[in-house]
Amino acid sequence: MSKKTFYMTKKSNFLTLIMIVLSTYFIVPLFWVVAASTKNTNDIFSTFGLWFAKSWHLWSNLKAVFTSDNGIYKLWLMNSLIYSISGAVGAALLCTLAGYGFAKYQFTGSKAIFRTVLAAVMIPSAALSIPTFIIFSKLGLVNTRWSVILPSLISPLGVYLMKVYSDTSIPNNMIEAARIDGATEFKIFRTISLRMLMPGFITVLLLSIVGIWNNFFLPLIMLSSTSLQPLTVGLSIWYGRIAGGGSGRDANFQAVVITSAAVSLIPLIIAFLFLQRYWENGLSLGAVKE
Amino acid sequence: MTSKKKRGVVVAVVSTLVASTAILGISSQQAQAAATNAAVAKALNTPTTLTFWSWLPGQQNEVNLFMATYPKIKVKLVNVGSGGTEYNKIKAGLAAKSGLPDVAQVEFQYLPTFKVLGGLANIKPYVASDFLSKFPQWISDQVSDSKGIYAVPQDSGPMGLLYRSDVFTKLGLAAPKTWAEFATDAAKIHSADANQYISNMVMDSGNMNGLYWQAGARPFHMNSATSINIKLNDSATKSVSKFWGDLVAAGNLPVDPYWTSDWNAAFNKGKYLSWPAASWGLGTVTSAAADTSGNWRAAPLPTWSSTPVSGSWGGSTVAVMSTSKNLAAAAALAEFVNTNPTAAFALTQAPTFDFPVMKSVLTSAGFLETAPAFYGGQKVYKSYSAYNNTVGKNYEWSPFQDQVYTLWTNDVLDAILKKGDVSAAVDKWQADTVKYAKDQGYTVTTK
Amino acid sequence: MVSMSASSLKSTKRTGLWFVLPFFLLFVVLLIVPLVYSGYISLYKKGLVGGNRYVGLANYITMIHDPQWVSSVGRVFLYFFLQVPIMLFLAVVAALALDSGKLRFPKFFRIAIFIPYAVPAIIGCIIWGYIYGTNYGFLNQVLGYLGIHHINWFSNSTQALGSISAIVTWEFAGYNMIILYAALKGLSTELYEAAAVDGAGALKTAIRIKLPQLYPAIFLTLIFSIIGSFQLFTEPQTLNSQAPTVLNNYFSPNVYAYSVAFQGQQLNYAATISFSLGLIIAFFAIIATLIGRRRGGDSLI
Repeated sequence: MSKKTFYMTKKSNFLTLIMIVLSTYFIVPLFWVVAASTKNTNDIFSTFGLWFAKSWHLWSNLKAVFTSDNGIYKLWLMNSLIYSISGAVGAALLCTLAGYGFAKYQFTGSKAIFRTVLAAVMIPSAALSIPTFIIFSKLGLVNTRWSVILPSLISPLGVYLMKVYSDTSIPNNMIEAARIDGATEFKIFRTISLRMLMPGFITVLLLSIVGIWNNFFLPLIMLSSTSLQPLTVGLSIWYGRIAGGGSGRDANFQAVVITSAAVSLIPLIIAFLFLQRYWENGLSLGAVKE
Repeated sequence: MTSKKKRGVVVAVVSTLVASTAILGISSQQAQAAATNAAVAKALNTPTTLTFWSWLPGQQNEVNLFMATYPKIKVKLVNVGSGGTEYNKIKAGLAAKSGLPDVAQVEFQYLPTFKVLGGLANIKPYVASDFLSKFPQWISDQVSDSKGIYAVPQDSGPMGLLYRSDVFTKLGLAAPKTWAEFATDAAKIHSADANQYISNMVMDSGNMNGLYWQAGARPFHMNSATSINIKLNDSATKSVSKFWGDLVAAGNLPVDPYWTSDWNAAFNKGKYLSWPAASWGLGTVTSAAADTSGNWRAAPLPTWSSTPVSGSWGGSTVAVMSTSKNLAAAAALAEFVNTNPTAAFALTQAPTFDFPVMKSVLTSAGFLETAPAFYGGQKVYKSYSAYNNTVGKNYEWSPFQDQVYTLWTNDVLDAILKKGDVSAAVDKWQADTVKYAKDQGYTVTTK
Repeated sequence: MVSMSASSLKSTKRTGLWFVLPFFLLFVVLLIVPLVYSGYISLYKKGLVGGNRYVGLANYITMIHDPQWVSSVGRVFLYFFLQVPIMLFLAVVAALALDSGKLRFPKFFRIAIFIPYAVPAIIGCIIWGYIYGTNYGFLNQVLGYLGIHHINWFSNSTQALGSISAIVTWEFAGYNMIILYAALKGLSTELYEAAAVDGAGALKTAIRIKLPQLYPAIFLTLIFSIIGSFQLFTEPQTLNSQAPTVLNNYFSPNVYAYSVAFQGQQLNYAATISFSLGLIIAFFAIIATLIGRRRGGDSLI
């Protein structure tokens, strides 16, 4: 960070002001949902959005979030964790192995395969959801946890990032040296390379966790049992219930939905705050590498 | 809606209901009369877990009653979303042949769709022999054909006009008797206060369909299993569409989408002074507009001529899915929650507020005499029972009703909101629907 | 950078394959097969009545004559040109500001702008749905203090695109900012030092020296944005109830495919729409890549 000190002379109030205005746009909606989660349904519409109402309903709202529909919210939270963690660990492992393989070995067809994988970065996941649904339904995989986890395991972008990371972070002569010492290729990977690839691994892991945690379309069409659904699909159902589409008798449910939305933000925001540096390190790979 | 707190209430409600049905002279023996059939009796004596999809508030009450009566059967009641959300899940489940419940709530208008898709089990072998005669014929016709019975009717949606009598009185108005009066009042109400309107534009396809029904539209008829008659652009439909289009164009109706948080709040804030609503709308307004309690009343739907006629909007059934492995027990559950006298009566009370379809409940004093404080002590069910008797008969649904509704939104509602040619839009709705039907392999007639 | 470095170890051909194989097998099963299958079933047709039959390219011909499909594709194009430039502009400005060293509390700003990326789109939509409420939404509440009342944020298709753009920009500007900021940190400092010696101010340094070097990274974010914006789904689908005629069932190709598949029961036609969308996205991503490469930028391929 020595370059910073060189020209970090005077702070600019003007620039800070611009950034305050800009960040307001990003913070206000989050502050709104936090404030709204402390209100009852009526106050949400009649009190100022960015401040708290006179009557405090946070605890009763939270209680309702965790007890409505026999406490299914806990199950949704658990499902989201299961899908994100299992899917992301699997994806990160597969990407690390493949990225390392592409970077450090040349085998028949390796170039063509890598090109195909790269081209697949362009394929929109949504274009695959419907055919995958039909195939999975024929295989009896629809409405199982596998129907969400399996498609999450494939991350062409992750393979690309891990190849670049392997190229830059593991010197070839280190591998050569290990070979001369008689280590097998897999042992070299396990004992030497994997440790050096760890920061890249964590970046791909994080990217996948966010992607799976936020995914809506795939679990929406794959899962029909509410007990298998992740938070995103569950919340969309609760949100839809405010409306009632055809029999809107649940208007008092709004405070619960808003509070459940606010609670859903907590796990990922914590993960972000603690793992910040991995984002920057990892994302810089794809961006700077020439 | 099955939080622990609610459950406490539920137990209390159920026990008072049991007491009240005893007073009404309905013996608890009749609860088991459904299980006349040996196969059903055996099934109900076998430990089984059934899954039941429903979005009906308070449905757990009736399910609990069922489980208390048949302790071997465990029922998992799940709310997977209401209306279209649930139907899309059923369709996906039918395509995948997996992930479906044993029993599901299905509105009347979607029964033909699921029947065509092979999703509904024929429950005729499992239900009581006098099953169909328990309901008015226009209801029982919708769940059966010559070969079988495909669902148990749960509630219906006869339409009336819910209105704010306090504001109407203040402005020197009575509830409009005809649609012409409604239009005149619309202008008066909005000019008296720019923030209030006689009603919101009828933005919901099902709601508008009820008004078409009232005006005499009968758009669908199955000529055979593969041939359908489609006539959406008759004069009744066109004049009703134009009526609402003119009100919007004159600026006398707001065009707020239904079912949003905003729409709910608007009832509470007095933006809309009336709503041409189905019977279950009594519950909708009660929960949306708590601050205006005591000021709402029900009146007959305004009419086009002097003859009182109503339409219907929504109304549900409980159907057994063809994929169920426990058809007999599932049929017994569907039948019980809707026709057991105690359960059927419970459906009409808080928090469900269903309008019953069982003749015995329709005529019971306990139902007719209910006088909610929200409606100023008016015996609103007695009022809606009167409207129910005037609902136009012989209405048929198409086997792709959700598509018909989506096309209505895209064509007719869009033209009304854009203040375009409404009549041409109704013609386009007809043309698009015919095109879709042909695309699905139907032979189409347009008489 | 596809080409293997000269020192790649050619002696262990088999081993490389073993490393790649687990990923590649799943890649074929879960990506190539569905893609091919999607193309395959788009050549068939199955109605509610009557059976499944081969129809050749009929579904594609129906599609290009389907005004709803045409309008959905037109809309995502408009959306791309409306949303992506604004989002990337904000991301570039924020990244340059963070990197300038002239900002107070840079860590706070970095987190504040990045955090919406952690919010699932569906939750973002629920929150923004309340913010956009016509009568009692937060935005109109604030405007009401200024004497502006009851704006309908989804009154027509273009305005709805604008409102949706604001949501998506909120979700993804921070993500792009982090990519760009990371790229800036990786740049060599020598040029800045020379500029500073020449007396160039921070703004001048940012525009004249940093921005051109940032080009490859901006390009990468552009490619991601093409892929993302053409797939628009969650926002119009979730907010549909706010404006049923505007955020209709053919607002975007993905919304249309979902509606056609599960409401209209036309899985084959839905596959046709999805498959074509994949082709369109791949086509534009490749075009963008070629242009970017010619201009000397970095590229994926």
